[in-house]
Amino acid sequence: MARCCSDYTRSALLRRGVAEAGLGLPGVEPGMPLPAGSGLTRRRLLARSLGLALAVYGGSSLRPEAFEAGIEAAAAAGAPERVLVSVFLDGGADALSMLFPAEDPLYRSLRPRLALPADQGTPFAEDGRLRWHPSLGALATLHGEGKLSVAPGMGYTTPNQSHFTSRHFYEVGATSVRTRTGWLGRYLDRAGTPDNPLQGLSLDSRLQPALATAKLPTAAIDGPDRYDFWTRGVWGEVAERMLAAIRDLGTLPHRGDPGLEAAADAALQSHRLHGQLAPFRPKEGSTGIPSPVPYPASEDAFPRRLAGLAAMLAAGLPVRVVALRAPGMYDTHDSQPAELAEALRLTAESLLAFQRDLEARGLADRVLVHVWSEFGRRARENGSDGTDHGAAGIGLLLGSRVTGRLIGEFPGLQRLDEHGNLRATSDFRALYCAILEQWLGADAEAIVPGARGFQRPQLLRA
Amino acid sequence: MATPAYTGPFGKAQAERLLWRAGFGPRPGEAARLAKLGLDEAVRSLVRPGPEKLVGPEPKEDRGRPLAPVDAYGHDHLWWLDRMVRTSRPLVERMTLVWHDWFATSNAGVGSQRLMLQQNALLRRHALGSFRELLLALTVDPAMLLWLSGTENTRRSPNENYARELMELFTLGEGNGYTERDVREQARALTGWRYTWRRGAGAVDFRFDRERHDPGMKVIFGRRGTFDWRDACNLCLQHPRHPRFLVEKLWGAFVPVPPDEATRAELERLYRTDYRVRPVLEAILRHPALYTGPRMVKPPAVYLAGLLRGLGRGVDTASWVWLGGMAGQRLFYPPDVAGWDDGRWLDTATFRGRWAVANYALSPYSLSDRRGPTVPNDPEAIVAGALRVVGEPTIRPETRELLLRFARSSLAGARTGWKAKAYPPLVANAVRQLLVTSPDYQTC
Amino acid sequence: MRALALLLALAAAGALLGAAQGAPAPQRMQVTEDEWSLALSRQRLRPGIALIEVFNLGQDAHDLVLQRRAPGARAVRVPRLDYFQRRTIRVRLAAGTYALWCSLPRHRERGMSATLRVR
Repeated sequence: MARCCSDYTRSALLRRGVAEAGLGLPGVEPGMPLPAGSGLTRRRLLARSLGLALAVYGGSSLRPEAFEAGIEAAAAAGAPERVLVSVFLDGGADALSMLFPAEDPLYRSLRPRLALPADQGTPFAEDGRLRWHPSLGALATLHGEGKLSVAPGMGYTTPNQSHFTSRHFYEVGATSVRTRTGWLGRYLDRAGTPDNPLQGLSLDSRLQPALATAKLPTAAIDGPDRYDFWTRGVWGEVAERMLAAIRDLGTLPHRGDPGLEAAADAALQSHRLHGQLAPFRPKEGSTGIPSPVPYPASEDAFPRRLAGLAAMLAAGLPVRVVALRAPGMYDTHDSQPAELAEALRLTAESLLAFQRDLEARGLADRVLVHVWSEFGRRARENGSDGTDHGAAGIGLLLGSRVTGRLIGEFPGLQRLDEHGNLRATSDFRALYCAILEQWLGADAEAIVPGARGFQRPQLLRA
Repeated sequence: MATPAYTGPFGKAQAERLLWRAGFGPRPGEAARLAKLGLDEAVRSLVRPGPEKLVGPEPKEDRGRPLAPVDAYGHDHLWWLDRMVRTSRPLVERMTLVWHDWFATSNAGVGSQRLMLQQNALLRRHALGSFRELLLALTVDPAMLLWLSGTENTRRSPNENYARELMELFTLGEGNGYTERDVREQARALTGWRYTWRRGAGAVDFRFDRERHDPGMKVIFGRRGTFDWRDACNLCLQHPRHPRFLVEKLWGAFVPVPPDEATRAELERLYRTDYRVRPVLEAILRHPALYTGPRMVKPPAVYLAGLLRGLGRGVDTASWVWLGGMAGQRLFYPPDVAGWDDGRWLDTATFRGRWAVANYALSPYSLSDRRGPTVPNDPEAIVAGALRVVGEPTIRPETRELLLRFARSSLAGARTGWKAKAYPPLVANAVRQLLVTSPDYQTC
Repeated sequence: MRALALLLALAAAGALLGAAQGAPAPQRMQVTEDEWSLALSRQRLRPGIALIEVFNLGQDAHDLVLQRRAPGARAVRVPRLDYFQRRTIRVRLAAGTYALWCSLPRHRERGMSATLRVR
């Protein structure tokens, strides 16, 4: 049955209200959930004192000034000991290409056109059957240094093959379509403060659903380096003076008139922000955020966002959990070889640069990166140089403190599920419990439904 | 008893405020002409306008081609922006925008520019008319039926989406005089609408289908009946809390502080008899609070349309689409069913968006020492010129002084040498930009 | 009905006037794609140049093929678009019936096809 007949845009699905009167969610994809966080109120404002253009979500009872004071107070109290960065591979990344069973004849027969040559890529040290995708040299390097743990069969029982539904499960940390808060949002609701939106940071123009809280504020920031006031026909010394005059506009008297006050405040805050973002702004003749190490050059925002994040952490901003999307579309129904190789290379090389950046800044012990995708892809290729939606996928944990050991084993191609998909050998909720307990020092049972039943992997080296 | 009317002087400044609040700002000379009419006639000209005339250059996209509002992305936004710029009936257009924000429907959920434009025409048709007719028409408007799941609301599988917003956002206010049971029962009353899916065309032929309607007994606001969608609307309109909700929300679109008790009661009385909006609007636009109270931040679409009117520039680039988003108001795409957050138009992101809007608006008039008229090396003349180019807006003396100071200090080191020729146009461009991003011009 | 006819006549006169002043603006059409449908903003176009905007509103990638139903007619292809991407092509349409479809595997069978009449 065609989806078109009950609802016909992606957004229509996203915007469907919680209105279905007790009959469960209708529609062609049963159990289509609401995106976590869609019901939150959203407030844009500036954290004046720290100079970040923020869209703040939740926490609607506080005035902007309270956030600014809160961020300042949190920064003064010392940056959080540990930061978690969640990186999403959007579309369902093909685990069987990222780590491929080079010598397995089944792999060749399931993937006659897509199988990677058996002599390409670096061997995977922990499992002699596997090799890294040729574009993932950067991950092989990190793995060789013991800074990468791999979960080659991450998933859950009764896997759902809808992008939205499965992604929703990962975001809310439960296989429930009704949950409205993200798993990291629930962590923040317990561990955060009511006045520091930077505690949950979406490096995106919009809220990343895993960070959707029930009550505390979080922030979205597109990148600190794109904030300018270019004006046609104004340059040099006059442009400098014009920027200074924006501040003067902001200090014009408003005599208690709220309209004038709002407009003056916006000018003043924008001026201050522009000044405070100066360190992040590319200098004339250079590009990108000043970093101690080079990041891959790309049109995509991903390396720039990671570089900005490292700079923000170095500046002592009170960031606890961060979520962003990796570059590329991993929904490779066709033209998989070229598209996947490009997306994987940029993702992996940016992550390696980020790790090196943190190491150079002396921050590497404080940051853990979690890479995930909503599912893996079908073991058998389709007829158009691509693969369709699958079940178990890959999960990565990256950082100076990780064990660098497998989390669950490679599921292998001998025992696929009834749809021909890889079976999960580790559960994403078990990983979440372990991250919460071992990295963030939180009570997983209060955050992940059914936490008691999950066997936690050991994530950190002793 | 009538609501009080403003009795102070009605000069250019007051006429300017009226034109910005009830429309999209004055064209050059328009405020002075309106002031000559006096308050009563000025308001009358807005609430009882003649037939619409579109004045000014025809809209076009960057390559000079005409707009295709139904057939090209973003042209819906451009088409309406043009209407705001060229209309001779500014209040009708402004009320269309108020209703768009009130019954906020987004094409992000509808997926059809054609249906969105049809809804827009509906809002315009009822802009100054009967709220009852507007509500009835909108309840079964195809874009709204898609947006709030009206066509998924059937007797077998009721969907409360529209029922809830009908009361919470459109007629009563959140939790104001209804229960969860009323929501469920209203949903049942609203059942029965459907469309046909036609391959290649999408959803067509929106209609009421008796088979899908729940004809059973319902209890809504304590009243029993076999209610249908018309009853659902009428019950909300007859709800004792509705008039207050409507007049306060409508007042809030024009005046930033709440009405006093007596004014509110009188506005309710004006409205209650037959749900007509025009007399309420007339009373609000004549009220002293509009002229003596604090200023309001102009919504981004109003800001841009007014800037173009002041400049005498038509819609001639598709850049207004993404710039609208950057400034915080992409027409036909309100952020959610609650509409735009009108109390929070300005922050560091949207201020920068308005800066970019102003920069794009002023670009064709940009001065240079290599082309165009010579700019005198004279701060007074430069500030006067900036005011002239955007249609002589009224600004406060301190703002004018700030611009003068900026021009003086920028030109101080440019009396001789190459700077003497090169700097005046740079300063003039900067003064214009600062003028239209000043608090005075961002508000009205 | 008569009023409508009059309006149409006036519109046609306007079009002629426009043509007299310069090259007429090309006709335009938008094709929105989703799983699993194509929706055309118009069902009929005139022979001649047309600007066709393809807009992917679905959650998967889609492409578009446009081909007149006639022996040897050349197919026009719009390459794959990820979700929320769009692209405009300029085509010269001959009178006849055109088929439009997404050529990704099984997308057409699932419903991503439409018919456009040109006359």
